Amino acid sequence: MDRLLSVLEDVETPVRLMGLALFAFLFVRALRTAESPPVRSARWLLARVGLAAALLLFLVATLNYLVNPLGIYSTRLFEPLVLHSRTEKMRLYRAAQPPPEIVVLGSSSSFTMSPAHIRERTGRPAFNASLHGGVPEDYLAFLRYMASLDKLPKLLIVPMSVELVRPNLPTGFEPHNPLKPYLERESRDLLEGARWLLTLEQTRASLRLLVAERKGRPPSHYRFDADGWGHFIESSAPLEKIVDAYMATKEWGPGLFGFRDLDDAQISYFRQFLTLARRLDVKVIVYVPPLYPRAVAFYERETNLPALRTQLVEHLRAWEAGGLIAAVHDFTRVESFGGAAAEFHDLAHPTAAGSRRMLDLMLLPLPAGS
Amino acid sequence: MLFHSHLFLFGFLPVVVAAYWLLSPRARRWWLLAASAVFYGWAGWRFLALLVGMTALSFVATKGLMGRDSLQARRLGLALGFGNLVVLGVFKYYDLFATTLNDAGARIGTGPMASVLHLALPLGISFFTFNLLGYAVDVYRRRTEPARSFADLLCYASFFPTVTSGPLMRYGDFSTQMEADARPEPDRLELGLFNLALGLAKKLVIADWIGQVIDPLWRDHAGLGVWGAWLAVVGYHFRLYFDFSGYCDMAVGTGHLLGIQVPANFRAPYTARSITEFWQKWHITLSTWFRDYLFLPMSRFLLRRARGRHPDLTRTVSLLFTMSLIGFWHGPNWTYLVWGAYQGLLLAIHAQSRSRRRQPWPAWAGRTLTTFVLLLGWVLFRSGSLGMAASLYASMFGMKGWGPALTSIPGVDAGFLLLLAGLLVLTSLPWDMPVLRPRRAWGYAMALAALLAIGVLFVGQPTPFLYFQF
Repeated sequence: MDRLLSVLEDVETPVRLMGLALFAFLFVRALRTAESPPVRSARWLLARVGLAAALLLFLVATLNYLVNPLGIYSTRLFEPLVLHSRTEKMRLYRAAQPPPEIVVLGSSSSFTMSPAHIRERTGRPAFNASLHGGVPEDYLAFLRYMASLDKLPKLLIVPMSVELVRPNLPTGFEPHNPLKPYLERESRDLLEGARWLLTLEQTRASLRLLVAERKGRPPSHYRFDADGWGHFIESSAPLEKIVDAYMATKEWGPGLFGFRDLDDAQISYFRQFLTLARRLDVKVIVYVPPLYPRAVAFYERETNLPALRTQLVEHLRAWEAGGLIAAVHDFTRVESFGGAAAEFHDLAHPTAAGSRRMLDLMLLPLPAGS
Repeated sequence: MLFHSHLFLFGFLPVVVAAYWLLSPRARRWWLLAASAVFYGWAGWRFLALLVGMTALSFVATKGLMGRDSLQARRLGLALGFGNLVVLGVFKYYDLFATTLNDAGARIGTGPMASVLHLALPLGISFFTFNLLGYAVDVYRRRTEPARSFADLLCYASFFPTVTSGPLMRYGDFSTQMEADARPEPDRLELGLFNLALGLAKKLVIADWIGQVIDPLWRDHAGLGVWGAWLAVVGYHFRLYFDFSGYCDMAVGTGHLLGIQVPANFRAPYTARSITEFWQKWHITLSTWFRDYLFLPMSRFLLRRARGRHPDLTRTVSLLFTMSLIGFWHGPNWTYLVWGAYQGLLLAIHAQSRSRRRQPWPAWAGRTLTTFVLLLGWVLFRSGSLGMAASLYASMFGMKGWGPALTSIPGVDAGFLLLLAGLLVLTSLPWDMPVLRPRRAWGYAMALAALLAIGVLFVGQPTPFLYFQF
């Protein structure tokens, strides 16, 4: 039983091997029929293959719909295995009442920007729409999504950093991206959801979820409140060790800033986002999010970060001068907002306390309790 | 639009096929034309305009000029038809020549001599240009009648099963089938489904699996040892075949569903006992195109010029030239040209040795040697530059050490080794898709349905076919 469960946990290789075996069987057996005349008609084969394939695909689609491991559909028989921030934040935003007036966009580094704190500080309903691996194209897509709901905020707070506009930007953190249609300016929500019923990714996730239900679920790295605020599950490891582990990875190592120019595509998305926000009469405050102090020193010493940050800040200042941005705050160093090295979960994710300090500075022009 | 996408498999194809057979034979051509326009225009409508323009050029050249009796008009028509080659040259090769010229200029201190255009390569341009060129030559030689209407020719040039990556088709074969008052035959539909299912599995289950393992090796080629380098090359050997032949099977299958026989491109190429035999079994429609429209006329011309003397030299020159062009046809990179010249050299050496030896080599020795020289060639074919190819050769022949063991390479596990062993056996079988017919039995039907379902599951995150880049 345990062996079966471990196979079901990752079915890709077994399915590929099964596909190879079936292909070999079909390929080898097909030659023999060329030597002997068939007794049955082609219609007979077509009908059986068509029906059997349709039945198999129907079973897979039903499994995926009922288990709903990525939280794409309305079925809620199980808690989603992987918390898909895009799916979840879109659902939460649609349900948010009263309509948020201040929205935080961004990546996981802004998960801890507390809407409750914003509300307390300004008296205005707020929402945190930060997304796992969120980049400027996601900002643009989410803004279009908010516009499609006719539920636009008055103010957007968005992080913008060199990491978000690097040419080697990793993508695909979340395989199912319900924001994609908004990026492509096409409404294919329904088709996209139907397409995902028949994907290996979701089938694999369904089976993993069922195995996890039986064996016990691993703890989630974070979870969201109804206002989109993200809670990180605290790690017991010392912060310095967590930062070291981050910097030892390829993604966060010296290669992170080993390029010369910012990515034109993401810069263009950000500009489109700002232009659309202005057209929709939504103000935008931009901040450069902080990094763990030791990491900042390392990147400034060993990489191209200073020159790249200058490029980015030049862009931001130009947009600010052009009226696309209401204010720009550079929080790269914790001293800039009165923070401390201890106010990080890891190299790039500030704690709620650190985020509160940044919010206080950014919301300073807004009268408290207004 | 990709063959291996949900949109194509569950939307476009069923609608196009069903409506095609419901329409009258006269209306089918227009329906096919509309379907091909949607299929090709899906990625961007501006290249559709280019396809229409190049077809129009061919139509004017053949119908307007070659249809006349005057030799001068026919020659002018042929020259005009070859104008499409200029279009291909501009889109595909101009930047390479401009960059090379500028590099040379920089070395001698003259500065940039030509501006680089950075034109996007229209999908399938190499394929539909060659279809149109072949058509123009056939009309010139009076081997085929000029298309009766522009729509007929456009229907041929834009035929959606083959427009992006072939197989290349002759106009005469296509038009004869289009003109026939065909009815939907269950046998053809059955073959269509069979080819689609197996082609889908070849691409998504087999080729993409190999790609997941070997792509990182090719990307980080500089640090490869012997094991890693050979795995990268052998993996590519199988991947290229299963990727491209999978695409061709799907094109053939789609053709069957529309009652059109699309020519086969592969006939068990890895069973070849010599390089000559390999080229009779690999990318057949391209090699026969070059044989009929370049190699044979060129050989005849050179023989005439030499008054029948030096036939070996004539053959060698023709082979080297033709194969170099076949190589260069694949893309604007000098590695393709060198790869083509290498194939030409091998063919010339084989032809020479065959004319001198009475006894051919034993089959096993011939196959082993052919596979070995093919593997060496794939290094050039896959490398982005000659420097990268040299680095790979150095790794393969131990100049960078053995490197990590095979099983420590990410993705190489028992399952992957089983896959490679299975492919070694499958590609050793002396038959290929064109001679296969599905068995009408319960077990076979269920296996085919299961493979189709597995193929569909892998459709989720499609990677483009390798031959789309050419």
